[in-house]
Amino acid sequence: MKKAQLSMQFNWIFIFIVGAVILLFFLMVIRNQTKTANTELSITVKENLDTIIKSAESSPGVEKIIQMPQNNIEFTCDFDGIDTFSSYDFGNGVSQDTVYDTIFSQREVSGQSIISMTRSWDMPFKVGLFQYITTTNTQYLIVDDDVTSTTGLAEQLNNSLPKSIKKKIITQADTVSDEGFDRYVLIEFSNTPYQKTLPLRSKKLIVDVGGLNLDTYGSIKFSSESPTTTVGYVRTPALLGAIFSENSSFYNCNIKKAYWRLNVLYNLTKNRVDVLLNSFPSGTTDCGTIYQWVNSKLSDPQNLPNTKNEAQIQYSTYVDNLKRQNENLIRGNNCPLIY
Amino acid sequence: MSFDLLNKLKMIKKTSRKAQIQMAETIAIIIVVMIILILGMIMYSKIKEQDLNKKKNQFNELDIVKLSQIVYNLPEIQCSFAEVADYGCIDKLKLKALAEIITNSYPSGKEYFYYKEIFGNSNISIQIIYPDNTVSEIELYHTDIKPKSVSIMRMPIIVLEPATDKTDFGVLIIKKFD
Repeated sequence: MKKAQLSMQFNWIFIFIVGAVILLFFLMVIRNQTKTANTELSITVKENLDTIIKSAESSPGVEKIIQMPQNNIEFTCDFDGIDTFSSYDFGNGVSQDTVYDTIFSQREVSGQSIISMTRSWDMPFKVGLFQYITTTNTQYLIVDDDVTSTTGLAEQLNNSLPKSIKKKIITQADTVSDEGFDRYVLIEFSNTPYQKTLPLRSKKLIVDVGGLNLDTYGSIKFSSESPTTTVGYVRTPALLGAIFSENSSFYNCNIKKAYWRLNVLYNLTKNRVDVLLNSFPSGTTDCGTIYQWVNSKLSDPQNLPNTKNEAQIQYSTYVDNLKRQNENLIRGNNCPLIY
Repeated sequence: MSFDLLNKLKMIKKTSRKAQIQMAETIAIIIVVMIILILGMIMYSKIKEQDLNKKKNQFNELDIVKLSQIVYNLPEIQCSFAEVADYGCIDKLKLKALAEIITNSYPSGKEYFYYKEIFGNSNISIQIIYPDNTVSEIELYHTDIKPKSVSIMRMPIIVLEPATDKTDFGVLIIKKFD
């Protein structure tokens, strides 16, 4: 072999090696860039979602459809017996703690359209806004409790649910076929049980309403869980929370957060009433008598009982009484309100 | 014979020098390409860094706006008439009661920890500036850190004294530390 040929071969080997190194370098750059771009996208989506959640807090009742790139969001809420830990996670190290926000959602939300709705939870004063997050990949089925009426519990519930979700009222005997939804949520009332078999990936809730209408109190049985769990609710926003929650423990965790805030607000209201009582002493004015009553009754609320029992009825009655006394302060007395 | 050998040796030397020059050229090209690449990378990372800093500032600004929204709508301190919340109004009694709860649980109580998660590294106070000539300030929340930078937001607010039904004009001051 001539030396020129050898040199030529060596040149080619050298070019290949250097070419491979350069190629490898670019591949690494591209890989890093893709990873960074994904993280950046997740951060942007997280910031947008966080902004939407925070801005929704100033506008209760507002329903929003959030368009986002195909991304999975995992919502968690865990209660360790003392504290609650909640967050949502985009899976690539991007997550957001939701200590303050009460978000009822299924554990994993995927799809390009996320539906969010807020409702104010008033006990009787505004405790906070409950956020509900779902997707168009979930179907909500409400079993009609009174087919002859348009004001039955099923109708009331149907009107309370967001307009843009996939929902329908069915009868006890209707068959529900699998239409390709990721998840089915069936809500039935205790007096009208659903009689047919549900598709797979279904969650079944049995609602036992204690008051005259939906916006009172009651219990909800998560009958698809093993073992079945029953939780309590006071007012429609809490009932909606159970409907949108992944399971009973997710609901309980968020309700714990809400009740913790409620305790703080009861304390604040008690302090406020104490000051008002000093300005309007009991016995000297009508205002003072009402403040005195409120002050004696305003104590820390206990945790909500799970079943529709006496304590829950008392709880709901107490909230109604507080509301009535507040209204009494307006009627004729012109006193500063309790809340 | 010796002339031939000398010629051959000259030829070998010439070829070898030519190969060396070629090799040096190739290496020089590679080095130049690598330098250009590295310079490109440095420039790109600098631009990216600037971009990230810009984004970070944007997020910081967004954070302080979000925080102000939270404080503005906090049911704990917001004025309300029955169930109707009054946006942009703070109930002085509620504010003082919450400030007391937060202060009493500082620095490791559950209440302080809870509000720390909401307010983060910030100082939140309300300054009452009108109609009284003297400026009074009520501090709702504070955190003790040595900040690298501070973003400040001031928002006009009505402060209601429910016992006397007197309304004052104040400024909600949010200092967010980074």
